[in-house]
Amino acid sequence: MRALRRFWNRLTWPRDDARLQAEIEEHLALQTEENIRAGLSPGEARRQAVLKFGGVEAMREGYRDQRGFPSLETFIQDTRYVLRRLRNAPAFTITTVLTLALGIGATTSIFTLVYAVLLKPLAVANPDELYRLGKEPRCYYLGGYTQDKGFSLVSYDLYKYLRHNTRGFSELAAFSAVEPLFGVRRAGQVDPAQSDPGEYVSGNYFATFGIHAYAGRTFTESDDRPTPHLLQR
Amino acid sequence: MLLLGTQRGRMKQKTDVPQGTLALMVLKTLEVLGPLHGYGIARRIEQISGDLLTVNQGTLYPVLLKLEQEGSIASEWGASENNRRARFYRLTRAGRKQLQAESRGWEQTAAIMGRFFALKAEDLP
Repeated sequence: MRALRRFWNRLTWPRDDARLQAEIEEHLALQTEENIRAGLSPGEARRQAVLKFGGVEAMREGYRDQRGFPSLETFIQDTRYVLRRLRNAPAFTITTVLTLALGIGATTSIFTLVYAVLLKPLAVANPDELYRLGKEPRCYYLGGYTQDKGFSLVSYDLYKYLRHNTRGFSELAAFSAVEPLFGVRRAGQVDPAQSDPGEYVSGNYFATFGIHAYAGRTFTESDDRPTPHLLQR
Repeated sequence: MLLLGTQRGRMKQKTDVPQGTLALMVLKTLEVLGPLHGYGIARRIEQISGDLLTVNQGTLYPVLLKLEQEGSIASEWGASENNRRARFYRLTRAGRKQLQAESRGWEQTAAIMGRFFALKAEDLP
């Protein structure tokens, strides 16, 4: 409690040296009078009083330390000094600032990339529970040009078989190995249709990922038939 | 060398003030004498200690400021004996409590140390 009050008082204490100066003067005057009464000459009396009082400057330093925040004041002084020195050496300053800026920038962009590619979880309900099935590195994927034979594709019938006979998974969804392009045009428009990449997926595709539609509904298993309902927005 | 050392030690009769005791002396002085200016406090401490203490009178003022910031003493301007403007210090209620607590602790320490020094080898059971 006492330390708290002292802290507060240090913050709000008036910063006048006049008070201390007046106190010193008063002190020396009283001591001088005492010395004169003891039989010293006025000059000698004053000299003895000053001697007895001790170093005024050293004491004033101590007084200032009591009053303010020496560490904070030193910090401000140091900062000013550093800025002054930096201004006097522009080549060094520019080199340092550029080095730091490049370093920070490079680190930030590398981390952003690593996060997006490696660390960021997939935007599905339970990324930890998601597995891709196949015995080759490129299972269920046929895009791009490669020379190795690392594809693991299954037919729709095999998919249906696996889905009905695999107990280890709660859902087993399928999607097409190729990415077909669809002609897309807004209802009521007369412009030529735009071609957009799409994918054929099994009816339980969205349920497997735990993703809901922003509006309307997603495919469900009941759509797994030759003539599905048309989805409305 | 050794002889020189002992002689110097014997010649030095005055002691320095241990840290913190000066504040306690100030509080006690203000309790006994009432409101007093810095010079009065310094003189009183000199008188009581019988000039055994070597203390620059100036070192008193940082201590006074610290005590005032802690709320143990308060100060205001007044007129000294010869009608000069002087700053008078007085003990606050918190200071009185602090003085009581610290003097109790000090007496205990002194009593314990006294017992240790009074003890001789043959006194031991």
